[in-house]
Amino acid sequence: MRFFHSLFDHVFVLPLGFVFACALCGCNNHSSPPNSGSATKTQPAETTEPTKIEPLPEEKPTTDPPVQTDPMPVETGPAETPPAEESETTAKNETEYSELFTGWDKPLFSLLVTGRQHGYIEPCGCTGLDNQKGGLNRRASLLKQLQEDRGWNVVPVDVGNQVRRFGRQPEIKFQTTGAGLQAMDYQAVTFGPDDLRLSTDEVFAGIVGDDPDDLRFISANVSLFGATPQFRIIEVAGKKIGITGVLGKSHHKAISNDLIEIEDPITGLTAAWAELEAAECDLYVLLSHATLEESREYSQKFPGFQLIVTAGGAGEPTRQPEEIEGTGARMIQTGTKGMYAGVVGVYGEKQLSIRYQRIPLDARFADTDEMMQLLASYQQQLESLSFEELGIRPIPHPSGLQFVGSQACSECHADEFDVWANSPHSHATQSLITPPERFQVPRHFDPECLACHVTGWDQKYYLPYESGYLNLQESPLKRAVSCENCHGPGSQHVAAEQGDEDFDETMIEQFRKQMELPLLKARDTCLKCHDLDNSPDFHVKGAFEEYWEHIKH
Amino acid sequence: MKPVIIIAVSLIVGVTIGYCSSIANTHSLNDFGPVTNPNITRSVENNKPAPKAVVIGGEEHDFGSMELGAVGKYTFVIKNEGDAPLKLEEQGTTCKCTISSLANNEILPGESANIDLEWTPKSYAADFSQTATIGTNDPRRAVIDLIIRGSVTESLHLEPPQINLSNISANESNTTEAVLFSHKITDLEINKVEFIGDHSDYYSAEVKPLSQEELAEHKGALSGQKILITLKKGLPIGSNRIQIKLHTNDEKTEVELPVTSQIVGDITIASVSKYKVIPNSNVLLLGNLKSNQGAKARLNVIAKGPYRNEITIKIHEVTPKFLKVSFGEVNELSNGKVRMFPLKIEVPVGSPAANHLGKQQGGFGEIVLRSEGHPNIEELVIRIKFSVE
Repeated sequence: MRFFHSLFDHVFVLPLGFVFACALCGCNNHSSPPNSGSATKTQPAETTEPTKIEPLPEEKPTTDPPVQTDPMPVETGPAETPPAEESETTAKNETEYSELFTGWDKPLFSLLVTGRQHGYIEPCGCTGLDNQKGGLNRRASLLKQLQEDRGWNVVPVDVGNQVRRFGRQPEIKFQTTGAGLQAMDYQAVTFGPDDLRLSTDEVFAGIVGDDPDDLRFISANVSLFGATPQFRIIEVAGKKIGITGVLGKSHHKAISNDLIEIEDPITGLTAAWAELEAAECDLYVLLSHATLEESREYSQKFPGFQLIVTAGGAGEPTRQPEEIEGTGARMIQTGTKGMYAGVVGVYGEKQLSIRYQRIPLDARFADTDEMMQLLASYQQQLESLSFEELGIRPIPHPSGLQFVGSQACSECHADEFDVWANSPHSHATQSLITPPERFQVPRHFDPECLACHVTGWDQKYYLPYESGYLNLQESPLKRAVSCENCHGPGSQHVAAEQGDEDFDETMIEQFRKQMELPLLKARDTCLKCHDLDNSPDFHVKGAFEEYWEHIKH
Repeated sequence: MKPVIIIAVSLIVGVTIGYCSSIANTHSLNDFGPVTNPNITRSVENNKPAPKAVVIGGEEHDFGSMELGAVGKYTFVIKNEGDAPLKLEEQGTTCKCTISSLANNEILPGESANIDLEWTPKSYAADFSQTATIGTNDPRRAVIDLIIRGSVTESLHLEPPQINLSNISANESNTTEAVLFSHKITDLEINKVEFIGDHSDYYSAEVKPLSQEELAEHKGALSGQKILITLKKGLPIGSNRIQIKLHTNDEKTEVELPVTSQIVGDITIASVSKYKVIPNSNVLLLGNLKSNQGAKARLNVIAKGPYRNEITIKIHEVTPKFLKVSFGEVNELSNGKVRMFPLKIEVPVGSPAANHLGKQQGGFGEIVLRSEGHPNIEELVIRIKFSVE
């Protein structure tokens, strides 16, 4: 997608002399990043460590202040004042992969920062995986590239909220994610409010690895069974990283469970910090599952944390870490739905300096066998459980009517049926049984997928209506996204038209009217499934009209 | 000669700023130095004219609270403060933004161009942020991110939007609350609370007005009501789901609040090691074990409800005998609302070969616990599915 082309940004707004002067003064500027040496091959540490800064050598690469390239195609047009000349130019069409970490030297170690997966363990493939970001697969692939291709020391951390809903399916999903995080050797993960709304023993099963004394899920103010630790100290590349997590006050109300103890964030952090401080770590990281305002407050009250990873902020994380006023700590957002991962490169010996890049987890990151197996096992678990065991009980349709399936419609509406039968809607269930992408894993036992791929489900709550699709054997007529998903259940209309019941002409007419869906209202019906996540193309200007042309009837 | 002057001036300015900021930073707590993003670099000759992109009035705009379907529009002004033409190119926007005008894709020195960002929110979101990425030929900044922010509020907003009561004792009643806010009217009222679903007669609700302080906690709310939902004791063990319908005087008159509950017995067990316990059946899954490795599992026997403080639990019988089973010290959780009896179960290294994988194989292993202090629960059996080779 086009907007991924600019993975990098940089703000070089101050006079060039500032850069030069900063270097001369040994300036450790926090507020703007005119990093003179670090953009080239100079060790980033040297630009930040006063004692190491020396007057710039008389070499061309550094005497010419390095600046960011023009990512636009270089034009040779009739410009009177041509754009600045390039001595090294990277063509825009180079792959994005090669653009990752451009100008970075190998860090001493790095942190892979993720969070707020919100249940998106994989991007829904309905509109093509190229169109969507996120998923455990791609995250694992990025991690592997860092570790294996680049040979980096990576410490993965996560700010929590692996799921969004609650019930049996989210519990299985949480455990699947837990297994994924273990496989990726996540070092520290904190809890989000939705994680804590799940059944506590199921959550525990998801966070406990081989050694119950080595729990990686931590929080300064939340404890499950009184057993989860407040913090962790990780040793990497000869450095000690002290990490804790915190659940912001604003999230406390959502949790009602006696097996989970929740303290005031400040009280919890005070206790955790005392121990972390005593451990004399080189880097302190706070995983703050809180709003931006709360996260800033915690940073200001506990200025010892140099890095804050926050669950606050909007869906798209900012490209740059925020500098916390008064503490100089840097705060990184993770965004939502696991669409992005952040990578923090840590440099320096005595004094640490960092680099940061936000990485959209898009299609350039291949699937990994390990995560595919995990996703397959997730689907198998769903298959092995009945709807009843998943806590799914069919609900009555608000109209009180039943779904009859599109075959019944075809008896009178033959032309319309033909249009439908030739549309993708007619094989919506089949595309779960044999998915066009990631085909190794069928998904037709997954209620979250089924809701938009069969007839007669409530898409908001992922629940079947009483006469809706149950499975291929019991309800073959309710396969696919058929007429009634838009027009409503047709039992009364069909019965009246077939003369099965004693309906008079007025009623027959009335039932016909009820089945009508004016085009003006149709869009809202479509949006229940063609939402931004699963059908982004539906949300561009003119898309509805274009889509409608394909199914016009 | 002009560029030379610029360099000289910027050196002086830069040295001054740089010096000042290095002094200021002496007292900073965290000295990371500049945080940089990766970027592709190239060198430019300093004495060549170059464009300079400046966004007048800042690169971010906050719409504040927006209504669903309303169109948010903001015009960013980019000025070329350099001395060569500035070229702009839309490199991409997040999917809800459109760049409606990039009137002049070349801006002459001293001139400006407008970039309109427009967004029509299609779903409710506490916070939204959309970015348009503009590529430039300014050698100092190849990319400018223009960001619009805001929040989209429903006319009626329920917090939390769903209620989940986890691990509720069947013998105790439980009360929880939800708050309904209106962003439209100043006198929100809930006229009727309707309960729909099986066992909905176990639920009751009380509606209370919000205090000014509580109202102020919710940004943009004009009025609100608190709904205290009480679940009576006695709901059958297992999960239950009902729908609460709130009828209001707002134009969007009805709001649905799904409530799910997981009711548990007064004594339950939960695994706190990698070995799972099948929910509701107290079967601990140890799997196929090797005699030279053994296994150590940990469970919590959890006591809740009105008799929790009187309950005592003892190990009565263990089958097979080579299993080592012991209780640790009792812990209290949530100010004593829960008492936990930690139970360690060990298949010791060197255990004899055994098959306890099911009925055919001679039955599961068993730990029989005896409890006192609860009128209905005297015995608790934990079955263990495992084999030793």
